Amino acid sequence: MSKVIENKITKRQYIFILISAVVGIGILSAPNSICQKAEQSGWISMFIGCLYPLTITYCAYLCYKNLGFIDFYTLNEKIYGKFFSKIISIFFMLTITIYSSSVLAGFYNVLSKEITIFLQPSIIVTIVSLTIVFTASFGLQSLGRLSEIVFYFSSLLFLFPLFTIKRGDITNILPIISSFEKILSSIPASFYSYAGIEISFFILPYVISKKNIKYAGFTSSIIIALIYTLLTFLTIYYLGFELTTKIYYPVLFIMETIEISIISDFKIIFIFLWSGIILKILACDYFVISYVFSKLTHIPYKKSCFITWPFVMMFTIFMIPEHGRNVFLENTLPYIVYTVLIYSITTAIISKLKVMKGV
Amino acid sequence: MKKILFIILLTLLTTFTGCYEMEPIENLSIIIGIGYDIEKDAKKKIVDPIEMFVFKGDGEVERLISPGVAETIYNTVNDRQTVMSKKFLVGTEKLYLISRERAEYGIEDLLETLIRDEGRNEVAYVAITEGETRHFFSMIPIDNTSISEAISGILKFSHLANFFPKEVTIKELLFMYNQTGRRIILPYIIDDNGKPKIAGICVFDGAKLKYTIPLEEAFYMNMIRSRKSDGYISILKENNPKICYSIKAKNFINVDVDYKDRLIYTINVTLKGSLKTDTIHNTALTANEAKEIEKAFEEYVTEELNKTIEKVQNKYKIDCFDITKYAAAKFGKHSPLLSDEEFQRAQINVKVKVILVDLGRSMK
Amino acid sequence: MEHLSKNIYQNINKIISHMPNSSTLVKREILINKKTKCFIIYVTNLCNRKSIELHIISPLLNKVKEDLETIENPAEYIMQNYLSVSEAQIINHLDNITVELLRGKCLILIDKSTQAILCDTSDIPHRNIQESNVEKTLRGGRECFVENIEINLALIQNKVKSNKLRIERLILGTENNADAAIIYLDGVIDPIVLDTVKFKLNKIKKLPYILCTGYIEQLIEDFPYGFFPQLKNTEKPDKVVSDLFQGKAAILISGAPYALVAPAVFIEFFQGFEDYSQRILTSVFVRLTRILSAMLVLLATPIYLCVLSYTTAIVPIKLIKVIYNSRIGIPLPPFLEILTMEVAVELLREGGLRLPTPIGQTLGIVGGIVIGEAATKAGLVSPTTLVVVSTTVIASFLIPNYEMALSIRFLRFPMLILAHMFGLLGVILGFYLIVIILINMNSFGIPYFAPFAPLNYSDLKDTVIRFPLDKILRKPKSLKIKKGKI
Repeated sequence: MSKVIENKITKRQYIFILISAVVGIGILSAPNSICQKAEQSGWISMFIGCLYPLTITYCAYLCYKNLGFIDFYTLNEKIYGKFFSKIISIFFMLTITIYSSSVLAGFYNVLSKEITIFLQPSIIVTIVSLTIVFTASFGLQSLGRLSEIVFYFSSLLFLFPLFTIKRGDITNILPIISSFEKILSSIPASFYSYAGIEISFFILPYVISKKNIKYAGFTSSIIIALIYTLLTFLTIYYLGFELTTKIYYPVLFIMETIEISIISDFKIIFIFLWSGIILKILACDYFVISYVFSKLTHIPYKKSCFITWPFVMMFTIFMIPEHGRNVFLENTLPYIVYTVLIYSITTAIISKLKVMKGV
Repeated sequence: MKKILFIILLTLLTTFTGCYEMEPIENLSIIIGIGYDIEKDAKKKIVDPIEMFVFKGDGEVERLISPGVAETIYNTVNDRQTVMSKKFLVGTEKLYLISRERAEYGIEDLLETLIRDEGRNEVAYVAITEGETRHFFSMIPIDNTSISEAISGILKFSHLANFFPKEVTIKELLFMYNQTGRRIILPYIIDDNGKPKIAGICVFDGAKLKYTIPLEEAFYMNMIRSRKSDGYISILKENNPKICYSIKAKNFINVDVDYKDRLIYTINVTLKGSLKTDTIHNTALTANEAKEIEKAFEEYVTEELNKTIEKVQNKYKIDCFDITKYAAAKFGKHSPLLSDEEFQRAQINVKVKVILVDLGRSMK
Repeated sequence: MEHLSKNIYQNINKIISHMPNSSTLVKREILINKKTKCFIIYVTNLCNRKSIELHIISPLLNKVKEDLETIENPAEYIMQNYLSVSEAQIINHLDNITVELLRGKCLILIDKSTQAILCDTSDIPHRNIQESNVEKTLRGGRECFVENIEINLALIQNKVKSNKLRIERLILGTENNADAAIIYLDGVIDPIVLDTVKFKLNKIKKLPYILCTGYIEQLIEDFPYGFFPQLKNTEKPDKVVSDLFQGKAAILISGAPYALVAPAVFIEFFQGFEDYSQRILTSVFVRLTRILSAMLVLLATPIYLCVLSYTTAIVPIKLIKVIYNSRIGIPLPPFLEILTMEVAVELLREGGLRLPTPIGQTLGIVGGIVIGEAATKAGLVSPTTLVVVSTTVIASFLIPNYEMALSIRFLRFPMLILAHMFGLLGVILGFYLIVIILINMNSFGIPYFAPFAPLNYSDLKDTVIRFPLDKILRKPKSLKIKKGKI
């Protein structure tokens, strides 16, 4: 295999990596979490929630624009000094580890219920994570290509729920606004669905053409928001918010009710395509983990891929019980999301100040 | 070093894979129908008969009915597995039957199970039976291998007449139970000389069966609660079957809700269809005469609908038309206007419009 | 450098010492103008004797009247004035003389001259240009390459009458000194790609012997252990020409009736040459069938195995009835049943490949009866398994390129094992790994999975689908390495 790992991506690949880093297990469970509070207006909160990815990508753009397109670690060193940059890197590494292991655990949960009842969790987690390590070890360029092609293949998946248009009931989403309080109070919950967009900080410097890079971030945020909103809308439209809040993976339920002649359980096709998405998001997350690890320890990237593998495995095994995972995520995700938000905004402001001082 | 690690990993993976515990297809019992009965007086109340295929090879397929008796739905599996020679596989079932007694007793446990157990087939058909479901499963199917396929066929094509809704499946059952302003309404199947037959609808209150409504009344309830289903309507003159208008119609429903001291539902029923028989006119139909026929049907259907509505509001006192959901859509999912009392007080106006798209090929 | 000496016998001894096996070496001695000693040396079965007699010996014996000893450069004088062969050159050293003689050239040594004449009188026995047996096309040229590199070059040159055509010759193998050539269109091919090809060919120059294009292919490809062929082997000159116009280089070697085309991308192996001659819609349909068949070969048996063993509920009840019934009484577990069938089919295929046609047919019939009738009747294999396996076998014949068909056929075995070990998850992961490997492969600096990854919208016009010819008859962008672009 190629000896040199090239870390250069095009702007289009940047968009697709951002999308693939966010859209994962969420497309199955996002309608559920958002409807708990917002009821039938969940899709509105979902759309408003795209403020989070918009802010993060824009801040990332501002930081790098102000200080030149240096890599993440050097950026932090310039702004916060050596010690804090290490802390921040470790924080991001842990965050992404939590994301990826929760995705992997969720993937296991869906798989174990639907297609691999006979396998032990450790086996599934091992083989999936090994595949991921293998994928991530090829570096960012390969990830960019992968995200691009898998997105096109799996975009079919976002079209499947469209079949509900004929069968749903418009009364399920009426009245359009349940209440403004409910919608507003569930916006933070929608932020969690967009978690993962932090990868923007890590890959932005590697985009080749920096022209209009600002809009690339916007585009991907809007595409993600549209995917989520469409899915949430259709789920509520078809199931009603009452059932949506009762089922952990409502989109999967919709898939089960699609009837085509040769396959009695359409879910399997869905999982087949959806696995591509999951493997992609895991690979993106894993790239960040190994990237930060290799920056922190000065171990070559490819080696650090394999070194970090046991940690991610351990985290995942810990995350597997669905109930425990939810409790853990409920208690950590809000802090993570707000910390990331505060970090990116302050970094953007400081970088601006530095530039102004420099002038 | 790398190669050794790789080999160790490969060996471990091969040792711990699940392929040693799997059972090939011929060791599975293929379930085709599940029934839910109850024996109220016994200690073990739940009786779940299951219909499954028995394969004899060479294309020969027989069936086997295996009842499980236990305290709960899943304990019946305990009971059944003690006599079954094969592995139990859920997910292929095509039919769920619930006996009337069981439904009257309440099916909360079943509804919860259907949501929680991912293995269940969400597109299986579901119906209420007159007596024990076991009795229905032991009927002899005529043109199918199993009675479950026969009954699910009946349910599948029920929407072609009597304005039955298109989907009488488990997912629709869950929708009806969970969505605000709706209630479970399922077809009612009776034993007609050893053959299953749809004889009406069952209306639930919550998870308990409340009323069984015969087909004659259910016809007009179906006309309002379903959409784009088919039905045949005839107007007889002097009760003579030879002199009549008959149409085949597809129903389109549009409901407006308003609130002035009480709920005002305005149900716009549009029946689009074709004229099938006309023995009243003896000349070729003109546009005016076609209008007349339409008008006659409009009046007739309005009258029948009003009668049904009156009966429902006064006798059954719960919403059998599935129209409370429109109120929920207008006034919010938590509105106090969705109660049964409000429904009884409500003013329900029906506006019927009949459109004859096709007058047939007869020129007279 | 071994210069020629003035002593003619010394020169001859040198040549003989270079060619120890000189039983076919002819040394014809003549006296020019009855005075000057002259030797004509050639390898007898590689030369055209008639032309040597007519155009070399006869003029030298009969026409030369001058006294050669008085002329300054006798060799040059003779060549210019008397020899009526079309190709001749003056040499003054004996390097490479073995190779030249073995190419069918004839050497004229003149006494007391330090120069010699090398005339091309070659008449190497070769096969005539015939219709291809391996790559049959319905539309397009019938001729195919032969073992003689000169004829092959002629076939290509005849089709590309362009001043951009470049033919660079080189010799491969230190022992067998095979003639080889790189052919490309200047200005069309990407210079980096061309440099890579040349660099890689130069690297293998020092190997003892290279006999066929298959040797070169394996020696210069980027991923020797990769699953997929990374260079295209073809025996049709028109295919080579079409590739040349797309910015690729062709490599020819004498002794092989094939041309190697580099670089090659994955999707090319699924495109038939006559796709471009057929109507658009039919050719799109055919291409879709090919992709579908490749998918079938890879996925059909693993998914069937999953249905049999793990996830039975995914097929409708009517199909379960059929499969269930056919499985009753089969002693082998599903995995072994499918594997046995697959191996049996591979045995038949490989066995029939090298047999002469009549025996091959017998093998096919016997194999068909054994596998189709007897195995199912005896209850060793279920009929549904037979249907699935034979469908995949038939599907594998749809892939136009033989090497790619072999690779994909091979890949279904790992997929089957993965499916057996991990059920559908194994199939998913296996498929995903194939995509990852495809994405990360390169062929001479060109991404192997182009134009899908990296995606190039304009090049998608000629992949699984095909746009009208006027939209695609230009150089694909993905075959160009842009600076700084991926």
